[in-house]
Amino acid sequence: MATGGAWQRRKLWRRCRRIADTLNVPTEFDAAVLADLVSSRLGRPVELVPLPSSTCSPCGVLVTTDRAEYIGYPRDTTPLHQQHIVLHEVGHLLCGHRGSTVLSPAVAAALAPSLSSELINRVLGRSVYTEVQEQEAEVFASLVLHRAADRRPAGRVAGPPPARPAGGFGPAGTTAARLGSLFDAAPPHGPSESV
Amino acid sequence: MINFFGYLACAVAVLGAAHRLWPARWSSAGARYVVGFTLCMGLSLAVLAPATSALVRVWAAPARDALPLVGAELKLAGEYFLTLMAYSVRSPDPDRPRHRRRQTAGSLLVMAACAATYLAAGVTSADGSTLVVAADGRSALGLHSALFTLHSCWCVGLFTVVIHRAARHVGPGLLRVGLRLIVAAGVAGLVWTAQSVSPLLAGLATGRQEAGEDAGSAPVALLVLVLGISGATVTAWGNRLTGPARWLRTVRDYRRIGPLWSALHAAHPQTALEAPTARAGAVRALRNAEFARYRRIIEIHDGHLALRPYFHPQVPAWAAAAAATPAEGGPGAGDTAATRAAALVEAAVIAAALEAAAAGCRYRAASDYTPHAVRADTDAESAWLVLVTEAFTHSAAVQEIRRRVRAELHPGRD
Repeated sequence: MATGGAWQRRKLWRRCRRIADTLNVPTEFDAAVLADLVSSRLGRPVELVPLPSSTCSPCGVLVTTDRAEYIGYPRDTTPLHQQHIVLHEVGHLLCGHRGSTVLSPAVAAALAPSLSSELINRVLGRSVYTEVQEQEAEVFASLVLHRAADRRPAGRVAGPPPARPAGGFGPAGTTAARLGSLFDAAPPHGPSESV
Repeated sequence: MINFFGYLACAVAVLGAAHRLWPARWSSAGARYVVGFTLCMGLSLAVLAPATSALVRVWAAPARDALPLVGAELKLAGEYFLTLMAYSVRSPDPDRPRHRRRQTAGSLLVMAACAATYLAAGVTSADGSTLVVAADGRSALGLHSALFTLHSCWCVGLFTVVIHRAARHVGPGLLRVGLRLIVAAGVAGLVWTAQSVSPLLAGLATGRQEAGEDAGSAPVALLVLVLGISGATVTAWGNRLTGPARWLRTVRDYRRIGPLWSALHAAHPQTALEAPTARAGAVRALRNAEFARYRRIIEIHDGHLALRPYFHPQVPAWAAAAAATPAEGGPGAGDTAATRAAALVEAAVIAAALEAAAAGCRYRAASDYTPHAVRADTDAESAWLVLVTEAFTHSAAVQEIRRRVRAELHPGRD
């Protein structure tokens, strides 16, 4: 990383891995499910807001108000990148990072219908990784999404969850999970350490 | 030969169980049932091997007559674990604990009844594998064998049907291959069970019954274990076999998208999570290729977003026109041609933006360029970025557009 020695880097990775372990993101990423998951964890509403990329320079923004958490992510990038950006902001939330209370006019305008008259307590933007907070959030997002991708069976196309089959079994994914635990298909756990 | 099959099957079973006993896999109840089944069946085959009887005759002669009973009880216990595996695969429902309790009670009852009838028959075993009874013990021995065979048929049949039904709902992949192997093991198990009917009838008729494996049943027993263990572990060793090939593909992709990442990183070094030295990059790719490739993909997109203010509004149209020329493959039909054309446009947009960023020129007119749609998957992203990188580094059209933008930015320099 740009700052800090190997010891601090290992410490940061350990901390991120510990926090990432507590977030059980589904194999098939679903933004609404993630928002609900984080919302129930924090006990506060979490809203995901797609923004024109010109407003969230360059990548994403987390705005904490007295009522809710707003995560802004760019509309015009690939879905994988969007997922990563959202998870980066979730990383800020779960790591308990502090930010400024200054919201850029462009982001304020984009969030205006949602924010209305709420009191802004925290603003964090995903931009550069020279700050430890940004490094933590970035490592967290990388770990979580990389693990979810690892749990996906090789060659499997990411898409909507499979339909419920007829007969006495639950959804195909559930059946596969039960069979997987029985027949030695344990999920891997992603990278052990940064280099 | 029978000794060989018996002990080989036992060794296969113990090795398979040891594999499943590995701490990370020991946590689920399903894994414990697999270990219980494998160990019980493997041990029963070793106990019933003639060499074991010979060994017992030398060291503990009184226990010799009990060996066939021990082997049979171990098989019954193994079959019981098989039913528990079947119940754990079926959908959770309120009746499942009740079914499991009934099965446990039923299997315990059969095991007790088998032991009681065996003892009541007054069985002697001269060589450990041949059961001999007096005339008044034949019916008890017949009842013992009938109970054993019926229990086996029920357990193996239930398990095979449940796994067969489950396999129909699993998509293509190693898990489905494993389930089909297990169904094959179940069918072979039914054949193995059916082979015990003939000794049963012989016991009723003559008072002499083969309890151990013979030349016909020992290979079938080995086949059951090999198919079963292969099916139960195919996902693990299959991934290990395909892992190296996947690792090589990932490292290759990591290297192939390197030029694009380097160009974007040079323009926006703050988007890199790790300090990018050549040695660190190489080590990272070798140690954890998937993660290194994932980071490169994300950092390329970060760089792409950071370049948006520098997107030339006309470059997408220029590049699309260039992509349709014969020199760049022409207006080909199909998804591949369209994807290659889109990759060329993407590469040209990035190359032009890098020129504009180097000159510090932000465009007032917003570019309406929309990036190519890519599936949310690292493999798909990687395949797409490899195409973009190839166009970025090798396409004459991209180089021409780059020169054109540079000439616009620095009139009179070229």
